Amino acid sequence: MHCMVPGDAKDRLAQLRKGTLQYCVLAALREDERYAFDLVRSLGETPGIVVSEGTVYPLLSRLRRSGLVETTWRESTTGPPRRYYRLTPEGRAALESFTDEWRAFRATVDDVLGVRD
Amino acid sequence: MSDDKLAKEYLRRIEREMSRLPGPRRRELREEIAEHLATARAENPRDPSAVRNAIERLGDPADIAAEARAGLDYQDDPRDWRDTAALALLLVGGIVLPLVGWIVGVVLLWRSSVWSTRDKLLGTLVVPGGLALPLYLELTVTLGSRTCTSSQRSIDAPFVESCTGTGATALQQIGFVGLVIVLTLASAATVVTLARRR
Repeated sequence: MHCMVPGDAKDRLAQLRKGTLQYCVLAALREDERYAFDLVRSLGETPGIVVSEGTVYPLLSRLRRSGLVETTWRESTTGPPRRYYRLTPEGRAALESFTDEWRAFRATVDDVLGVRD
Repeated sequence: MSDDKLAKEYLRRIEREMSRLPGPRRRELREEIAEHLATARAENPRDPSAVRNAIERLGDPADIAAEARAGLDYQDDPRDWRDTAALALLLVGGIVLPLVGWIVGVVLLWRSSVWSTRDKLLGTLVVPGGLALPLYLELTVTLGSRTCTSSQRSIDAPFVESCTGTGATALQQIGFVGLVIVLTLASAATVVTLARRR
């Protein structure tokens, strides 16, 4: 039996996060458009999702370039104009299909691992 | 340290970590993070540590830059030999192949996707012709006292006067040398600036 080195767990979690993070971002925009600071802050506050808030910005710009989200500028009463993010139809579709895939995948893995809720 | 200094310091670290990213992406990311910090302060005007907290939560600039690099496709990062060629031609193209060499450099500059329009204007206008311009001036313009000699080809031919120099004053000569130096330095500085902004 070997000892689990903390580094291994961290790496595994990082790998798991990598695949799902963009869908978590899309999901955060499911209900409504949100401005960048608010979106990034709330993702940072969800435990285990985002390690450093700054890394969300490159991800947002990738999502923008892939056409899954779009941005608009709105004037704000407190301070500079804000950049608002919202899902595009493609983004919404991608989120929905991933959600289905994830449900099926999670059920399978739970089964295989023998996880009982 | 004041909020402004903290923000500027953090943004400087961000830029340094992201120096290998293509220009447009690097600028976009820097702008978004600057906005983030500005919003942090605007939303909590009474909290003196709002910016410091925001910076801590944003995290290590190295991680952010790594994340940004992770998303690069090679097609998105077209920093290739053409960009280096553009800079080389802008600088010395006019010397190697007068006029044409520099023009090719300008064409490559404008066709590249790596520089902003403002940078491209800078590269074109400062200095037109690159180093060829001050070199040309230096070689063709002879200031200095005007000396004229009269000569005749033969005893019955009319006198012909030929003069060299423009009779410039010492001040004008110094000014001219200064101009040549300034043009040389400006041309070199522009190319260096563009090289760093790729």
